[in-house]
Amino acid sequence: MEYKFESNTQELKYKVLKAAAKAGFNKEKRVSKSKLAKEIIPGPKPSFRCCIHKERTIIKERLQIALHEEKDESIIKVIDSACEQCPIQRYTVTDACRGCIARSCENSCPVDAVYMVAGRAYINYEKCIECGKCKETCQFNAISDTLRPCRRSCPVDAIEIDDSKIAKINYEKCISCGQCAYNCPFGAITDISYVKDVAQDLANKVPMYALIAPSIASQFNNTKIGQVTHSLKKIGFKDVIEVALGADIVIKTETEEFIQRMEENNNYMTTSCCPSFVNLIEANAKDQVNHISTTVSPMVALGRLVKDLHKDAVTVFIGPCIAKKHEAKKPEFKDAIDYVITFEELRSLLGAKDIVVCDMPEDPLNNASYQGRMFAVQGGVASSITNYIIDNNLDVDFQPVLSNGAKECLKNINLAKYGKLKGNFIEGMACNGGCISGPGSLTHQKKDANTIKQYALKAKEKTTNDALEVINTLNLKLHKK
Amino acid sequence: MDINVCIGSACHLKGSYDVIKEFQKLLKEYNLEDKITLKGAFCLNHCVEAVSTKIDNEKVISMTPEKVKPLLEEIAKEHKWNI
Repeated sequence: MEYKFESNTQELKYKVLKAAAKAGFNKEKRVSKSKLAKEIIPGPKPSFRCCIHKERTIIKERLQIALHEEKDESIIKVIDSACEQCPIQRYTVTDACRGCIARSCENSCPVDAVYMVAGRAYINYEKCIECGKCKETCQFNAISDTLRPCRRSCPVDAIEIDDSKIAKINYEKCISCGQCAYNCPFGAITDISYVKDVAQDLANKVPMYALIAPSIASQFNNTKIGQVTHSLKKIGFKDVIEVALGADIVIKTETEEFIQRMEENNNYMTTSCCPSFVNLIEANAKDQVNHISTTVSPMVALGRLVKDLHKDAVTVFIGPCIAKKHEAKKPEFKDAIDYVITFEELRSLLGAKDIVVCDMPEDPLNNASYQGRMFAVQGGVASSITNYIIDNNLDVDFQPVLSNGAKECLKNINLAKYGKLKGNFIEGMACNGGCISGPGSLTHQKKDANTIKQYALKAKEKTTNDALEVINTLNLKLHKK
Repeated sequence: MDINVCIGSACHLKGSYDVIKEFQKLLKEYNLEDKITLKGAFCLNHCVEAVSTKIDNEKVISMTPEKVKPLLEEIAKEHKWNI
């Protein structure tokens, strides 16, 4: 086995997406999901669930989404049959409870919901307000926090539980960050997939351009980026281009916008490159929307550059991000990007063509500057703008405030709203640590940030000015308005 | 007339930016800016012959900054442009 998977759910998803990609490459119009489900779950013994019949039923539902056969165009979906209906009570007394004398749990409960029954602590869920005091005070760690992983991972409380205990996404609140999809241990939440559409277009020799996000550098273990580039060209992409070049365009445009806003006495501006961060402000702080930079994201900037130079180009953004699927569908950006797929889908696309990436020769990948490549890591956008200001001797007071993860993003927006922000610029990244830990990533390790830095250092062009020296952006629409 | 210089990775590494800068400089010097449109391009499928340059949607040739001057002079001669 060439690939290492982070979890069995990731592996299962890979198998399903690979089947969908194969169907695309073979230009199959009607795909037998039952046949594929039998191939993925051969039996006779079940692997995860009660029986192979249930496993196959769930696989068929997964395939339906992977093959993009659903009419529902929501970016993130719950697969009802795969949801394990985990307990909805947050705190549970475990066997470690000794029914001790101290009974701190009972005494610390502000609503008298904990009492002793048959020599052991008991939680009355009719009264419990889920404050967690009993868990904190128990010396035996006997009370366990069993909050559902989907709800725990959601930064905006968008996961609700229906009458049959199945998770439901409240799309009014959802910011498409994809954390629930990554964190559900049953793989019951998943993202819309375009892998079959992409494979089919490649098979039809459509002129497709792969726009790869900078976090690609930390994705494939023991593999060089050049090998991934070669693999992408081998399966039919006309060229592979770094989205970091789009980031270079954004650094220049966003800095110019920031200077103008400060001259107009705006008190602060936020980044606009993270689509979940933009969604977060739109859903939770509507009155602050005018502070979001109107500069387009690196994905959109590069998509427009490619289409300006090649009129027939079909652009495929490949990244760690699920929310980019949402961004690309917005009417104002449809001209720039045709498809968005994640690194998970990329791996299945290559797998479907039996490409063993680590056995491939290397092709160069070098379009962007060091600065552009650093966009994938928390702090990268702010430091790139700082450097651009220094390189161009710009006279502006730039005080960035970084936000790590969606919760911190919201906190900083609220501080700014009430004039308490210690700075005039918010860098917002909805994933902890930046794009490198996106939900569509193949790895989520601490060393990933360093891997990106090593890759950034290999850029031929060191600064944004160098990277953009001959790039003509005059024809490109680089602002949302 | 259109001239497209490849700015894809292989050509970029072999100095396509220098080729473009030389074109920009000489087009100005020879007053050819309204006759020749200089544009970038991504991969032109001639990576081994970097820096790939496509003339008027036809042939793809391999360029270096040194070759820009003779090329422009040849084009001007062909079209009877005074430079």
